[in-house]
Amino acid sequence: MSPQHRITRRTRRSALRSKSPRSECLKVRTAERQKRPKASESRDLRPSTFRPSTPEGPATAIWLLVLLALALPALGIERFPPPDFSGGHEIPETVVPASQARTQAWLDVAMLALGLGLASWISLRLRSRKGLVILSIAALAYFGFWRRGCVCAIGSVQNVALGLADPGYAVPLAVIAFFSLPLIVALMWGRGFCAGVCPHGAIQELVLIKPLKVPHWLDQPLRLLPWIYLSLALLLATTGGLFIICKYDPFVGIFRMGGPRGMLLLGGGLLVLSMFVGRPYCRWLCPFGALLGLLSRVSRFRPSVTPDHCSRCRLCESACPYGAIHTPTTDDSSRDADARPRPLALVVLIPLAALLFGWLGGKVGLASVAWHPTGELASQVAMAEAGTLPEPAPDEITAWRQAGADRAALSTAIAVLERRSLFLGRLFGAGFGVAAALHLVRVRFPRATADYVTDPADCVSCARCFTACPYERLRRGETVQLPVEGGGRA
Amino acid sequence: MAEKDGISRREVLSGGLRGLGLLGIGTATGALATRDRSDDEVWQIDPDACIQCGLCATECVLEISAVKTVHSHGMCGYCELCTGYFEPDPVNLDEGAENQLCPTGAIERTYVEHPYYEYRIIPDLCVGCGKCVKGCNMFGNGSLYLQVNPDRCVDCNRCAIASACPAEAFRLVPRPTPYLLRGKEGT
Amino acid sequence: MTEDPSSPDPQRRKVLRAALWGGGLAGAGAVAGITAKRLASDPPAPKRPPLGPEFTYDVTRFQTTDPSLIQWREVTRFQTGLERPRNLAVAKDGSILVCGDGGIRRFDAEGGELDASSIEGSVHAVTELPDGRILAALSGRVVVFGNDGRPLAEWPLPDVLPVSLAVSEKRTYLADANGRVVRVLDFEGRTLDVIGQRDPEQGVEGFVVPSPYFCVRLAPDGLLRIANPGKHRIEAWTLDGSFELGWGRPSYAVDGFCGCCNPVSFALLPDGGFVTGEKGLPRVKTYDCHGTFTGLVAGPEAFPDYVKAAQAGTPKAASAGIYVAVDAGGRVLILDAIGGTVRIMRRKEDTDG
Repeated sequence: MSPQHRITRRTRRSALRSKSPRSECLKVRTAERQKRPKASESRDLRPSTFRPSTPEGPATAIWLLVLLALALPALGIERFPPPDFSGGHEIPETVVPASQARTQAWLDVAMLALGLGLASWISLRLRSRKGLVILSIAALAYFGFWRRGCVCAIGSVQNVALGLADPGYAVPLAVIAFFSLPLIVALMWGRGFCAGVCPHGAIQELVLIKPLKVPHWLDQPLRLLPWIYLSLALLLATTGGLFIICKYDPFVGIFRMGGPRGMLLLGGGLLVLSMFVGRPYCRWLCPFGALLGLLSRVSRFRPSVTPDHCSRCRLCESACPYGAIHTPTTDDSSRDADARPRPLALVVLIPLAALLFGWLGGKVGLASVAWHPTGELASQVAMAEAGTLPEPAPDEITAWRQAGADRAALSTAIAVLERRSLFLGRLFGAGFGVAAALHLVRVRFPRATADYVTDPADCVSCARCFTACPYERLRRGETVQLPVEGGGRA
Repeated sequence: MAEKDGISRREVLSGGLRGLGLLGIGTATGALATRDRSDDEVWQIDPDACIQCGLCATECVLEISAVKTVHSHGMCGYCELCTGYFEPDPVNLDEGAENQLCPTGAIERTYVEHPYYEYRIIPDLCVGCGKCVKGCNMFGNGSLYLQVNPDRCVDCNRCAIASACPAEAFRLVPRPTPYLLRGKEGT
Repeated sequence: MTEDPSSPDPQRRKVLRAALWGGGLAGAGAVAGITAKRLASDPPAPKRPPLGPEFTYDVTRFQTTDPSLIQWREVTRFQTGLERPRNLAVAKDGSILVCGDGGIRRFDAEGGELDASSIEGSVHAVTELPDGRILAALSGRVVVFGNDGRPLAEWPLPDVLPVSLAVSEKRTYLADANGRVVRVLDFEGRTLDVIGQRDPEQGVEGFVVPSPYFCVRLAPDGLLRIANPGKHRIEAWTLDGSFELGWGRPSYAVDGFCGCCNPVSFALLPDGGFVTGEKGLPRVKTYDCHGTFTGLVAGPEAFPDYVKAAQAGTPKAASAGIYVAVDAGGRVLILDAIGGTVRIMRRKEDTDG
């Protein structure tokens, strides 16, 4: 709908609109002089006022200052008034919706604490597999599908690491809680988080139908992978704020029912594997699980298979899908023949591994600069200077040129980044070395145990072994034939 | 291993390590929790750094991105030929789909008075691709720009768009004032 | 695992275990090495597939021009030395005045620096009065300099944003972008008249000025030429404020004015034609006295920095125009605000040998 063009008296009168014989454009035109009103004194600038949808008096003043401070660098264009509407049209305000309340985060923390408490109580006191299953389903529903996997404890290690490395980064309190609560529980009561709170563990638990026994020689080396993952994730988080745990989480695509195709395939594949192999993600990939396992090695209380007496019937060992119950080493726990080389091995291996993997980590750290946005920009700038940059130019270099193309600042930034990445790479590499050494020693020189007990690090408190133990069934009031004492030695 | 009064050496060691662990977690937690923070923060786009690369529409973890175009009417020229609304060289200056820039038809054009038209964004249709923003910024006044809608954003731990943004245009802003506006509101 | 340690079987098992452990750790090292190599060479994980072309704003087809349309050649270019140049003018003696943030610079006809005056603020337009005084227009005021560069007076103009100046024998014509009018001042700063005041009852549409670009020139035929950027026209008005005619059409094609508000600047050629400067698509074009397109002075290819800045769509680009002026010898001067240079162009047929 185009409005009618109002033809004025003046325009009708001017004959120059048609191509007149006057080809000479330098002739002077005369026209009737019109009385014109005096120039208006001051322009009525119509300010468009901003109104947040939740009016807060005192906050508005602070907000104005904040926005002013934030917008000052952007000044450089004249802020130009909008047209003056003769019909008195009101220019609309920019109404902005308010952000969501913070209560959701605190609810998550409360649910986490509740879940941890319940999981620990069920696995240690109640000793009920059914209880844990119900808790797992609830945790999967809430933390997995309802909250869509975010905020999660596994990813929180990155935030905490970045917070410790970068003094300018304030870690949200809920994330700190998600990091520390499961670790504290692991220190005191074992891996309750894994048992019934973590949605990743829950989903793997619930699809497990026929656990295959993974041989010891395969299982133990694979348990080094989470440490590699953890070290790499911490390195990338602290140097560049790249949160790869979140990005490459295989199950979050299932929780969100959507995501990058590759990740969905990986998640689906892992889930299928989980039907036959117990908790593959938890055992061989989860970086937080590596930490939990390390801490739960010194936990005060841990699930014990038998409520009172172990007769070495080995029923529990085959019931555990995760290989977390080991054959006892000796009849007499007071003799710990294999334990003597242990301290020596630790003293030798730990520094050696720290040095070796620290050096290796430094190399990885330097290489990770290429993944950092600044490193990517630097490589693009180098290509541009060599004339090999493909057209159209990538967005990063376009944005950099737009912002002034400060070469010197980029060089400084890269130098700082490289130094930092080298140091952090060495640090986390050494950390991995220490963890690997501890792991190796633990496996090569296991603790002496007289009975079948749960492995302090690997046991995820799933409570499957309880129902296998005849003494447990006796405790629950079932009639059971107790096995012969001492039968079934390894 | 000698047993001493019912407490083994191992238990002492374990207890010591446990205590150390608790202390460590407590220290880290305390150091981080007491760090100076004015308020809880949310992610927002700095419109003057944004280069309208289109990643806002694809990188958000939500199916329909939480990033939408915002219009600061006070900055708008109210042009009949709006370069954020019309394709370059439109067939006709009307609301026909073949003339409109927005692929989802999320801009509403209403006549005010000659020759001024008002343009409003329909948030439910906007996907945050930034096509209109680029048109407005390249040829016009820059009154259209992208902003994260705080009521749709789920406040991820680490915003996926922020990580992918080639211009590093994402910043953390206080939750009560979650916008970085242009125009009279921003000055 | 208490077995008889002396039997050969456990011995072999120990060796096997040790070998496996060694292999496992070596594997870990290998994983680390491969990761390092991959990190260094491969790009990071691909982002989600990008949106289709219908979600992309693409004007690249307008950013190339037919070379046969370009009829002018660059003779020389010089740096203005101003961080953010905004406008330019040619003085009677042929010297070139360039104004911008921080002041005015004067150059001779070949670009040699002559002198400079500094002023607090952004100078949006500059011109020379018949008596040799220089006018520098800033937001809300006009500063008057003597020919030697000494500040003489200041004319306060509250709420006025002057972006262009033209001078006749007795009057200054000042294009006020805030008010969307052209003010007529005497040489002492008094506002005598206003041209183009919007008055729907009288049928005066006025000027549509969506952004602070509003150019006014005095043509030798005695009419004012005023750009009406919102209507993509250059209009002719009488000195006492009646509209006569206008020409120009909105189009991204080479013969029209692109975007929503163009031309941002124009100047008059000695033969009565026009040379125009646009923003968005950086183009400098010539038209004849009737408004028929006659050719290009410089196309977008001549302004690569400008095109890159505009593609990034940040305000720095949105606020930069291409300003033009013509000197007595018919050379076209182009002010490139992003590059900070002035280019002097001559017609190809004048320079060819």
